[in-house]
Amino acid sequence: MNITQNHGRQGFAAYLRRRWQLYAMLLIPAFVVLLFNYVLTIAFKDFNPGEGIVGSPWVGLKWFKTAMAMPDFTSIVWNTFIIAVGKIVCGQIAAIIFALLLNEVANPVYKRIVQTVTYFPHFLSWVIIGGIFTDMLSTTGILNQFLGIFGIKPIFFLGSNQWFQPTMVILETWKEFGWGAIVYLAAMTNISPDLYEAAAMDGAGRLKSIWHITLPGISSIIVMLCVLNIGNILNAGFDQILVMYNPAVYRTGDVLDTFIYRQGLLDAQYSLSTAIGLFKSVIGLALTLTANYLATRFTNYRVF
Amino acid sequence: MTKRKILAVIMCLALTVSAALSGCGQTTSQSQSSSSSGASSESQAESSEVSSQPETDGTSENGIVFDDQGRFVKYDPPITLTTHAVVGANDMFHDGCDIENNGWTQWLKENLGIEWKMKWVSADSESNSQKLDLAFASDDLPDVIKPGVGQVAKYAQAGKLVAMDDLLEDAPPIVKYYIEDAEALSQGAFWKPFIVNGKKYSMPSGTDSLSFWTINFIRTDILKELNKSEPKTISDLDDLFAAYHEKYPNGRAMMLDKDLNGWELILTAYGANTAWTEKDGGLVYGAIQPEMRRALEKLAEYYSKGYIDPEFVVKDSGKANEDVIAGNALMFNGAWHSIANPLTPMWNALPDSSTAAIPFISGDDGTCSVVKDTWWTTDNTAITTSCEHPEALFYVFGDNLESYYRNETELRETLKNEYNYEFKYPVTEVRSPLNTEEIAEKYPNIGQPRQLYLYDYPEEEEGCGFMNDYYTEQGRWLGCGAKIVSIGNADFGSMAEAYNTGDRSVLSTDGGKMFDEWNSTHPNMVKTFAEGIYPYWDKLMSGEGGVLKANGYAGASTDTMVEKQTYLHKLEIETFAQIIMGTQPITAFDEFVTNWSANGGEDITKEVNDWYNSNK
Repeated sequence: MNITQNHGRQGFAAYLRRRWQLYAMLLIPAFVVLLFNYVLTIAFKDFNPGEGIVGSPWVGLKWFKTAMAMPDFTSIVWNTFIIAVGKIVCGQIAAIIFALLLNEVANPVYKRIVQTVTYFPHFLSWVIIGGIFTDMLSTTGILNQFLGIFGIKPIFFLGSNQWFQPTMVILETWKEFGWGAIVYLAAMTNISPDLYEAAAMDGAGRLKSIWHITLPGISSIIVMLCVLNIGNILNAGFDQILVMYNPAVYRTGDVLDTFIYRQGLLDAQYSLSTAIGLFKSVIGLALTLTANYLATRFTNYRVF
Repeated sequence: MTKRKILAVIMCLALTVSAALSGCGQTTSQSQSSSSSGASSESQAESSEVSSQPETDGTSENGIVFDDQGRFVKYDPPITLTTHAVVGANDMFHDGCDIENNGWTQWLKENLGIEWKMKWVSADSESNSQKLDLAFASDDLPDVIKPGVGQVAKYAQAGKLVAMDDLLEDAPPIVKYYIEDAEALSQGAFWKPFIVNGKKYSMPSGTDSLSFWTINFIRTDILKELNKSEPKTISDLDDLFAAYHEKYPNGRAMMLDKDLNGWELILTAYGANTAWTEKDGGLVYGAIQPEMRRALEKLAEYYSKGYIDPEFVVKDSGKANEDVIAGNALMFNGAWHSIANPLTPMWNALPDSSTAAIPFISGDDGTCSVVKDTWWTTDNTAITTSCEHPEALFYVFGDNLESYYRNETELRETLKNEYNYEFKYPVTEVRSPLNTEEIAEKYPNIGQPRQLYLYDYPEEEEGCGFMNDYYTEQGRWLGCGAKIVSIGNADFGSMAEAYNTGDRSVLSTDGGKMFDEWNSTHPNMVKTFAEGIYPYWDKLMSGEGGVLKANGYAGASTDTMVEKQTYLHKLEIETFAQIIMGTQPITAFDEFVTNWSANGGEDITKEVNDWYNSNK
C-alpha cells in the first residue's frame, strides 16, 4: 500500500528500476487477458468453426441482443442474482460466526477436530453431495421425517419453486462455512493477546472482547472478502445447480451458468454463450471496482 | 541483483513464454483451417476418386492393393484412421485389451493395413456429443465421426464433412447391397436426414429395426393377485390402477422420470406425441395439439391420485429403474431391451415375479397411435475432410460385412448373381461360440455375455482367421455399421419362432447365439421377447391399424431450431411437468401453446413445412 505513495519524489523511472520484478510478474496475467480477449471476439462474431475465429463474420452486438430478447433471460438473471447474493451473505455470516465461536474454544485438540470436520465437505464434489441430499430432502427423506415430529407436512424441497432457492443457499452455506472460516481464524491469530489481557483487566467479558477486539481486528479481512465476493454476484454455483435442478423448478432454479451450459455445450452455440459469459464478467468486474471504491471511501481500506 | 530476484525473473519469463506458445499454437491452426478448409475437401474428393478405381490385374495404386478380381486387399504401407468412441461401464475387454487394441483392431491392422486411433473415449453418449462439438469448434475432428442428426447438417455446412456420393459409387458391392436393403426397408427415407444441399454426408448404421421402439411392460403376477386382466383401454387402466393403489398405496402404478420418459403409456391412447405428423396437408408439432392437452390432463389425474411417484421430477431414468427393480412398479413403458435392464435384475431379486409385454393402451374410442423417430436416425457415421483416406471406411465396412456373413449362402448367391461379385472369404466352419457360463462366472457384473469383446481367434488359424460377431459389434463402435438390416430383423424373428415352436433348427446363426446367451442370462428374457415384444412389433411394422407412424420430419435441424430449440424445450418440459404435478392448472397448456408459437415455434413450423413440401 505504500508502494504507490513512494515514487512521488524520486520519479517513476527510479521506482520502476527498483520494483520492476513486480511488473514483470504482471506479464503473465496480461498475456492471459490478451489471449482470452482474442477468443472473446467470438462474442461479437457469428462464429463458424469452418471459418475459424478470425474468418467468422463480425456481427457486433447481435448475440447480446439475442440473449436479452430471450423470454426467460430476465428471470434467469434474477434467479442467478438471488441465489448468488443469498450464498454470499449467508456464507460470510456463517463463516464469521463460526470462526468467532471456534476462537473462543480453549481446548486445542477439540478445536482442531471441529475445524477439520467442518471444512471436510468443501472437498466433496456436488455430484456426490447432490445425490445424498436428493435422498435426504425427499418427501419421505430424513429431514421431512424429522419435521413430521413437529406436525409439519412434508415439503418437496427440490421440486417446489418456493423452496428451491433457499435450499440451494443453505446447502452451499453448509458445505462451505468451515472452509470460509479458515481465513478469519488466521486473521484472529494475528490479534495481539495483550489486547485481550488488557480488556480482561478492565473488566470486559467474553462478548465485550469479541465485539471490541476480535471483530475490529478482522474487519479489514471482512471488507476484503466482501469486495472480492461481490465479483461473484452472478455466479450462482454451476455444479450445484446442474446436479440438483429439474423441470419443476426451472422457473426459479435456472441460472446463467446452466443456461450457458445448455446453449454452449449442449447446443454448441459458442458465440451466444460467450456473449452471455462476457456479460456476466463485465457486471462482475464493474461491481468489484465499485465495491473497492466504496470500501476505500468509507472504511479507508483498499483491496487494490 | 540477488539470486532470488534472478530466479523470479526467470520464472516469469518461462511462464509467459509457455503461455505464449500454447496460445500461438492455437492461433496458427485456426488460421490454417480457415484458409484451407474449402480447398481440401475438393482435393480429397478428387484423390479418392482416383485411388479407389479398382484394378483388374492385381496391382496396387496409391498404396491400395487390389487382387486380380479388383477386390480390395489391403493398404500397403499401412494407414491410420482416427475416431472416437463411447465405452460404458458395462463394456468389458479381455485382459490386456482395450478399445484401441483388441482382436478386431489387430485383425484390421494385420490384414487390411488399417490402424485405428482414438482421439477420445467417453463414458456416455451425451458427453461424447459435447466433445464432438468442441472438436468441431477447435477444428480438431477425427477422421471418422459418429455425429447426431443435427451435427451432420452443421458440420457439412461448415465444410468439414466429405460428401459420400462419389465414394459410394466405388464402395464394395456388399456395402451397396447393405444400402439397397436399408433403402427398401425404410421406403427410401434412409438417407433423408443426412442429405445437405443434395449430397449425402453421413451413412446411417443399421442392425435391426427394433431399436427405436418402446413397449408397455406389466407385472402379470400382481395382475393375477388383483384378479384383473391385461388393460387395453384407458378405462381399463383407471380401474386397474385404482385397485393396485388400494392394495399398494406406496407402489407406482406407472413409471415416469424427470425427462417424462414413460409417459407414452398414456400418450398412445390420445394419439399425443412430441413429433411432427401430417395434418391438413402439412406437418404439425405434436406437443401443441389438443391431444397432448387431454393426455396431460389424464397424467395429472393419475399423479393426484398417487399412481405416479410424487417425486418423479428429480429422478433420472437410472433412479426410476430402481423402483422397477425393487418390484415397486406395476407397469412401465420402455425400450424392448428393458428385458435386460431393469427386468433381469428384477427377476433375479424377485424370483416369484413375472412380466409380460403388452400392446399399447388405446383410448375408449379405439384411438391408438405412436410416433417414433426412425431406426435409421439413431446411429450414423461420417467422414471428415481431415481424413486422408476417405474411401478406407467403406473398405473396412465391406470386409467386416463380408467376413461376418461368409456363411450366408443366400447372400453369397445374391451378390454373385446381381453384382457379379465373388466373396473374398471362403465359407468357414463356425467356431464354437463363447462359453457363456464361463464368462458369466468370470465377469459376474456383466448383464449379457454379448457385451464382452474377446480376442479369441487363435493365431495359428489360417489366413485372417474367422471373425465372429463380437468383432463386428466392435466395428459398430468404431463407426462401421454392422449388420444388414433385413438379416438383423430375421435373427430376431427366428428367435421368436424357435421359442414359440420349440424348434431350434429355425434359428439363424446369430439368432442362435443370442438365444443361448439370453437363456443363460435369464429364461424370462426370451419368453417375454417371443411372447409379447416380437409379435406385437411384427404386427405394427406390417402397418396394422395404422398405429405406428414415423416422425414426419426427418430433416436436419433448421436455423430457428438451432437458435430457439433450447428455450422451447425448456418451456415444454417445465410446463408439462408442472401440469402433471398439479402446480399449474391445465390452462397453462393453452398459455404454453401461445408462447411456443410466439417464441420461434411458428418459424420452425414454417421451416419444417418447407422441407416437407420440397421432399414430397
